[in-house]
Amino acid sequence: MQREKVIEIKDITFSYGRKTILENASLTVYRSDFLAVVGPNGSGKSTLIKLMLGLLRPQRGKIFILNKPMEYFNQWKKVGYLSQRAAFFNSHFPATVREVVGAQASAHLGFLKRMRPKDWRKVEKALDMVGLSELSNYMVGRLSGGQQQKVMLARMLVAEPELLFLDEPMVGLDPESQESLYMLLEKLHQEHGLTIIMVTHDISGTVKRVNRMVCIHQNKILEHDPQLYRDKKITHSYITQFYHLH
Amino acid sequence: MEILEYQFMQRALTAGIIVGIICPLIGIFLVLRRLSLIGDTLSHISLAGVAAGLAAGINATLTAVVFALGGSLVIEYLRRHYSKYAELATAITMSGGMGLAVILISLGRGNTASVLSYLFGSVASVTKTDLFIMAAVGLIVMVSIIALYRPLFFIAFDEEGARIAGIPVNKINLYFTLLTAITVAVSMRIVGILLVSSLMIIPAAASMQIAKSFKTSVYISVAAALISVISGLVLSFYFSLAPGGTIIMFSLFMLLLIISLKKLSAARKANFVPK
Repeated sequence: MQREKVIEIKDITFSYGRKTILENASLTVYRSDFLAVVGPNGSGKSTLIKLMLGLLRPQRGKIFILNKPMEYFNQWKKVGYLSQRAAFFNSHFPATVREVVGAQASAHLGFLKRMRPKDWRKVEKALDMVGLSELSNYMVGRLSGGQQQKVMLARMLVAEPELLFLDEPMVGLDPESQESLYMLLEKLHQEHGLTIIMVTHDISGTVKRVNRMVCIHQNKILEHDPQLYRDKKITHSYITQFYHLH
Repeated sequence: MEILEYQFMQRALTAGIIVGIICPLIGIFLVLRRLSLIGDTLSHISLAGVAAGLAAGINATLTAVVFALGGSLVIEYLRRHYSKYAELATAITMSGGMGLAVILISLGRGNTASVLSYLFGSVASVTKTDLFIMAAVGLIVMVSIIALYRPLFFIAFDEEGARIAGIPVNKINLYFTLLTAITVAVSMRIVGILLVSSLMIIPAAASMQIAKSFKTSVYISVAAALISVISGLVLSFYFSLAPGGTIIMFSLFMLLLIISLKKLSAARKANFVPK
């Protein structure tokens, strides 16, 4: 059965000034993939995600999202994005969990429209999915780092996205919170069929959960099977060197 | 009450109530977006507007509003050019506004007393025309904040996320800066140009100490500002004090009281040993 393509990157070239990050690089992401984009700092992981989100435009090549060319895509409600900066929001911001998630739910409403009961039900459903229903009236700043990250995730889920982009979601979290967040992402992937694209440098935590892994090497997107990594059967010299597999 | 028998005090209290509502409505968003300096910048530009109005014989509140609107457009323009150093936009505009104000004040000889009343606020000099302008501005600000409450909250919490969600962030930021400009321009009549930004910031700071949600922080900041303005005006009337300074000192007193009570409550909870 042919799998549905949700993102297609075709022969793109992208540079920051004179520094080339990607050259004639291609990648296809299929529905219900859980894809990890791994690599050291500065390798171009966040750049790749931003290209997939349309926040950056390639100098050459084409990107398609949900079968539409990026320049004509406007159904951003179907796309959730948890940026790196989401983990470092102002913890003294005087807002409850419900208000923060509600703001995301109301983003698609017009200026004068109020949140309706069905909008608030979506908020409650999103909070339930991340296991924070009982903390909905807590101030966001009072939560732990892991709980705050789940609030950020609930903000994305409230719009019932088809695609979820996560940029280093584990940064700043203790091991217990990381494990809790990984379990939640697995649940969203397996039970809800969400397509997840996650940038991370945490190989050991990621490799157990994802079905695909890519990294950027010599300006190309290099894919490797996470099962090979789990079985320690990776043979590509760059990957073995980068992952310290000897 | 004796104070309400005087028409000028009736006008001053009415103006004070309008200012006490719109300043914290703007101020809470300025504080959360770390744009507190914009109030000061726009008040310096408003001073130039006041001086221009006095020199030309035009209603100074009106000219202050016009100059403040122009200044807010300059700030937004410069912020796009200095996106990495956004505070430069406010510093440059403040310098320009102050420089222009000094020149215009020197050109409007004999109007020093009038300029001082705008610098420090004046209970006695709120005219019916001023009140009409303030009421109109007050209505615009209140309706705008109600209409834009959710996107403003979103932008204050996560500006990048707001952009990705499709909120027209640049347009809303520009409109909000314009609202800030007109709020500053009309509020100087009561609080004075030097202290307008304080009335925007201090009630918001006080509310953030005790609010349990964003909505209650908005309500508390408005309540705090109204108490400060009305108390300040009453005190300034009976003790012949500068109204702007009295209002701000009262609001500072409230902030310090809230902080002290909060610390006391936390200390009691820490020392409490259940039997």
